Amino acid sequence: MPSESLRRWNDVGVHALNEIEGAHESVGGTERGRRYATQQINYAYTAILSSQFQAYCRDLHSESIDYLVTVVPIALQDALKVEFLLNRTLDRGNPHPGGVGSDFKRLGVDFWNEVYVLHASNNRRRELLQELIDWRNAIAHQDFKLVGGEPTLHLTRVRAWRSAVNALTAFFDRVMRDYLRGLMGVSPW
Amino acid sequence: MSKQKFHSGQIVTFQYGSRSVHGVVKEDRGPIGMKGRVLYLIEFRPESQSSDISHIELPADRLKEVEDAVSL
Repeated sequence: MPSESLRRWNDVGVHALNEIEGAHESVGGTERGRRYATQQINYAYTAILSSQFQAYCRDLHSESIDYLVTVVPIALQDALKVEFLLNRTLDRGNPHPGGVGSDFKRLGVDFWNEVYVLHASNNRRRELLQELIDWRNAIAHQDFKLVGGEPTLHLTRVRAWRSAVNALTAFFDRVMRDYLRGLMGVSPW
Repeated sequence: MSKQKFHSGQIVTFQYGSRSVHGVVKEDRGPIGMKGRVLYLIEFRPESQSSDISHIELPADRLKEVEDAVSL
């Protein structure tokens, strides 16, 4: 059974991403006009993919906290919740791999190393996540030096990022489920 | 599980340690809590005389609506 956060990703997140795929397919016009329009859609797709993935990670972090604090006495649970939310990267910035890792690491889990253990391709998926975030920042600031100076972004590349982060959502879910089960003695989801 | 709903900007009270504190609902986080309970993101001052702001995510059954609230 997946976490509620993963269910939301598979429902709300995937729906939003499918809508923009649909927009891509429906663009008509001349070749030049179409190329400009699809480029803008690819930029929007990148921004939405980043924000939906951020929402998923933030939800999973909150969901994990709600279970994790049950292993300490009730009198300490609220203070611990406040501590875990303090300066959470996922509340402020993009879901870059370093921030995701440090937010989850504060819950006591060696996050990325546990993700790597689950699949040999997860290291590459992390690299693709970093690429996605670099492009998201380049688009937001209209400064493409960060991504090599070339502003052309192809749909195949955005789809590769989507495939990578989609796989990561399931692995993140497993890492937190196994970690919490080890602490609580029962599976949280 | 509490059926009461809270909305963004609403002023609530809740028990924090041994004290009752006021807070503002910042966000309905949806049913991402333990066993699908809805969590609310609350902004509050842990110490009434301090300007430090903290955040906590709590279920509805921990919150009480403050009627006719003017300010924190």
